Amino acid sequence: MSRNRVLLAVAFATALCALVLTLAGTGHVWLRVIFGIPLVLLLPGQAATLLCDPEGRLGGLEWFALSAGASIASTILAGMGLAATFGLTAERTVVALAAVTLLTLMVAARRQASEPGPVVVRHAPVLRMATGALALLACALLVLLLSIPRATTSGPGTVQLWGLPSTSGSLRIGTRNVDAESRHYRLTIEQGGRIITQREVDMPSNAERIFEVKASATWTKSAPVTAELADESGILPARTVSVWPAQ
Amino acid sequence: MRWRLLVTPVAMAVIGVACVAAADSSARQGVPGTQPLWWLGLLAIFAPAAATLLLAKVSRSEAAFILLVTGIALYGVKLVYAPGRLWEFDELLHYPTVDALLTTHRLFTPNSLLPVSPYYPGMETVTAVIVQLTGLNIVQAGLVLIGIARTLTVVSLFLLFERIALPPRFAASAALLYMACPAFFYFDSQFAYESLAIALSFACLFTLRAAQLEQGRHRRRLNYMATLLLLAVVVTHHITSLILVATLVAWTLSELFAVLRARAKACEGLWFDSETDQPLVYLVDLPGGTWVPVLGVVALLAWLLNIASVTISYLGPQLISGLAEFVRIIRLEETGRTLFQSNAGHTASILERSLGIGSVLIILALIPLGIRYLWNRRDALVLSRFLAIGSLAYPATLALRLTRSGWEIGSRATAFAYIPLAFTIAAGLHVVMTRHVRHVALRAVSVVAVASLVFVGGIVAVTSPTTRQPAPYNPGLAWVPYDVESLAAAQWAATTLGPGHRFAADSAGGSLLGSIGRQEPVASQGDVSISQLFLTPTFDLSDQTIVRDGRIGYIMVDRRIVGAEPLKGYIYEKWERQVRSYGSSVSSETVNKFSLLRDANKVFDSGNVQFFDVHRLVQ
Repeated sequence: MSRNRVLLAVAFATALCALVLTLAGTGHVWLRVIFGIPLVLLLPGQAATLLCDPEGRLGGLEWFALSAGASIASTILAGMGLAATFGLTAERTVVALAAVTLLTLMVAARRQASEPGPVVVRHAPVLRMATGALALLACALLVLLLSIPRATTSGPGTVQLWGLPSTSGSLRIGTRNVDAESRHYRLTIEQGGRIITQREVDMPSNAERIFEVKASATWTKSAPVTAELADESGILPARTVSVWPAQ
Repeated sequence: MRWRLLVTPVAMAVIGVACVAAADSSARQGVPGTQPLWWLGLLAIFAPAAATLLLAKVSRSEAAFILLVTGIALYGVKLVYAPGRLWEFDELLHYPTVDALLTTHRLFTPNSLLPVSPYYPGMETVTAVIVQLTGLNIVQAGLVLIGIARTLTVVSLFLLFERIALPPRFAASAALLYMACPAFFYFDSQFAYESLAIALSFACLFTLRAAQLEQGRHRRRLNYMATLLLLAVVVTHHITSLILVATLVAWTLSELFAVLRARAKACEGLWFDSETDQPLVYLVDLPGGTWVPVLGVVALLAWLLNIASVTISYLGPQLISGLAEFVRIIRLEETGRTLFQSNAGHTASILERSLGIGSVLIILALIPLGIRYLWNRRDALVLSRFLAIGSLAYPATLALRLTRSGWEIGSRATAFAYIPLAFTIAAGLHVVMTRHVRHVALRAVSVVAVASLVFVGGIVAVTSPTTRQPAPYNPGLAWVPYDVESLAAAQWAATTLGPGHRFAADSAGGSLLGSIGRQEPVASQGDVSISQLFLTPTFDLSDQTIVRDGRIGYIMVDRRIVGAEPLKGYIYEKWERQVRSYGSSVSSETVNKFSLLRDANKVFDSGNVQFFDVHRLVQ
């Protein structure tokens, strides 16, 4: 490929990545991955390598090593610079990385004009290798995806019960089912042996329920409020929390 | 490229990763006897690659391709251990630094799990940038970054070796033998600052060597590129930057010494030509034109003394006590660390011990052969001799690994010690095979067997049968992958309880709470010892003092600790048995004592994991 075309391609890719990332907002994760990863891990280094080697003396492997290394190094230094000054936010990072890359490309273009070199960039071996490596990576990812369901469900799920005093003087009692299966529980809230409330709680997988126990006329601060979440079948052990109302 | 030649190593690498994934999946469910399949998978990745690189006449691009495939496949082994999760202890330690960068957008936010981490924010900054730009979570971004770093490590090493005047096949053999480095397998593939710093430093070394082979402006530009990489290493990891700069200085001095020695031998002027009065030693011909190593020293010291001075108190005591212990071992005043024995006293099988010792003996036998070959070559370069001598660092790291306190530094230093070592033993292997083994078939078998033994021995050295593969959750293993219940508890703490509470917890629970739970585990900060709090059967005045002095707001109790054998030697803190001895495991009486305290709010219960609010206990 002609060196001018490489310069233009890198500049175009940088501008496109920056534009897509700016417009994509916070959604569209896959779109942002496709355009974000190159902007962080490839393009700044490509620009730096073009600046470093305007005559195209480096081979494909060297080109890859310098591009990846310089990209990571540039992102580290640019990111730290931002964090130390304006703050490391997504918008500023996109602007900073794109600006660094485009500025480097401009200097590289000037240098190339003054030092004409060979017309081609030796990318063929690295492209073949990248294709092969990507194929392997795809196979590895497939293996990975196949083993993920077993990994994430490893270990039994559970049901959580929690109780926290709120600022208004009342109590918040919450339950959450962190299990793949639905559960049915009986929630009993009592204070000093007196039942305040009792409810049947249906808990689909990943569902959360929060109850507020309001301070009433009979409310006393001399005993903790106890909540028990019991499985009617008696198979699963009960969960209990015990919280003192705020003083 | 001849694809036919590459089919076998590539196919075997894929099969190898699949075998390891299957073995790990079964082990995770508690199925016994999966280790043979796991080892078979590893050998399927490494042995065919070794056979192709060491025996077939591969071209440069073919050699590089096989190396890339092997490097990626070995990273795949790390990934299938716990897919989509950070599972090694160190990985969780870096999580809070990235999290803080994403929430505060600023550097140097304190990290209670690893106080030195915010002062070396290189890896965390790139990860935070990837998270911000792509929307991936911290774990996914970290895995992508380390995957790229792993590829960079392999390619840079190959390019470096290739530029020390050796044929590509030899360079590829040396790079492959580097993959037998114990640190390469798990430690330097984890989401931790050293993994990225190693990759960048290898790229820096390759760039400097490439620059040395160039002239004029090409050399200058490559030196600028090396400077960029060097600065990135300085802000990424302490030990790596220290070793990289020391290597650059030693390399420069050895090149300078070689020039001066040659002049002295020829009885000519050392610094100036006696006839023309021109300077003879051109500093630009030395690595990095001399100014890159000097800049490295300045940058390292400036960062260390002005920004990351906490590193001195972090690393200093470990190094000093390691060296002191080593001296005591030499004087026979101390026995040192028992080899092949875990902290819980489990000893490796005879087969594993034999493999581990065998691999070390083979390496030690190949070193002198390699040194002799590299030293006496007609076209021997200063750098190849420098690497030959540098391989002697390996026995030194072995010595450090004999000590209890220096073990960690010794293990980490192997990542660098293996650069010259891999180069030298590749030379040694070349000598043995070409000069001493005449029979072709025997040569083929023995060369692959030796390389595989070195690889297997490296893995045996850094893993134990209990940690090599995933297992059902065991709270006695103070650093293993967390299960659904523990993870959900940590997430509850982050979202419902809110961040920044001071927690007392066991080691594994504390690392989860300090990272994903966004809390401040008290034990890791070293300001108060919490062992007594968990190991005495009643809550007395001294417990109250610990809660007050440690400003502990919450206590996490994992009831599964009852009866669990502490496989890493401890459950809460390394020194807990000095505080209170508890036999083979912690009793239920001590673990459940907080449930009996009327004034302690039990605010969370998920069956095994419970949180107690202990503010009222010290009011």
